[in-house]
Amino acid sequence: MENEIFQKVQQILSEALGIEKEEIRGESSLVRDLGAESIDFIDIIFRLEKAFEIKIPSGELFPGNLFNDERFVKEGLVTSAGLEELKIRTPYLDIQAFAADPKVSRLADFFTASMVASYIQDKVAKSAQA
Amino acid sequence: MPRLEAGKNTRLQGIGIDLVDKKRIQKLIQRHPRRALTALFTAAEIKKTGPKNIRRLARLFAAKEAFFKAAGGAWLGLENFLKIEVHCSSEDHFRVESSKYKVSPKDRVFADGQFFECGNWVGAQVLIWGSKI
Repeated sequence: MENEIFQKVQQILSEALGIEKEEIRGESSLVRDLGAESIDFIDIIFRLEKAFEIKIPSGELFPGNLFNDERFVKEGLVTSAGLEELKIRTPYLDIQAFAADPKVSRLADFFTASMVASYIQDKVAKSAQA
Repeated sequence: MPRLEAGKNTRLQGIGIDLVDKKRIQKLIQRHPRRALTALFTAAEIKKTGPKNIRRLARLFAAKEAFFKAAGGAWLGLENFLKIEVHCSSEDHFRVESSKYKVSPKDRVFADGQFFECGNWVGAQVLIWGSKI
């Protein structure tokens, strides 16, 4: 199941970003390695929703609304409270690696193919239980 | 409502610029017609622009992205697209209002912008400015 979901995610990312499927590895960063821009994130969200027949609520996969909160961001850096909040809201993200230099502008670098697959796997499992 | 006059009592709060390929917006809307329109544009924006006017929709998209940058945040979520509204004041100029970002005449903070185009690319630049705190 896990592998099946990853392969489907790989296919979606490949089509959305115009990249060969084989070039997309689990640790591939959507921005840094695969060149995704904001419009691509939108396309990816819509494609995932369609392919897995799920609804991805705002801010759940790619957290954005968090950073409008002054408690969580100070002078472009995610505060320790912000890091804690990220852990809760996006458990699929490698917070430890991001915490070494928690610039808000760097966060998107940590959105990886395997992070997306883990999120989808959890989401699909939850919707199957419901 | 009278606007603030630029001068010693006003302060520039942010500048943002964005560029988007019209074809990419077209593809996005063709692939996800209903979802893309309703997630990115407010009902008022769609009503004024029309759901099929790709050039104008691309301009609105660029204006919103430029606004996010001017407001100091990279785009990291879909939700904010509906929390701001772009009002075109002429063919090339627009203003943005947002209660979430506290950009409105009531807040005495304004976001003004200008569109530009080159071939398939449309762009927008936004200045956010307001009274000194």
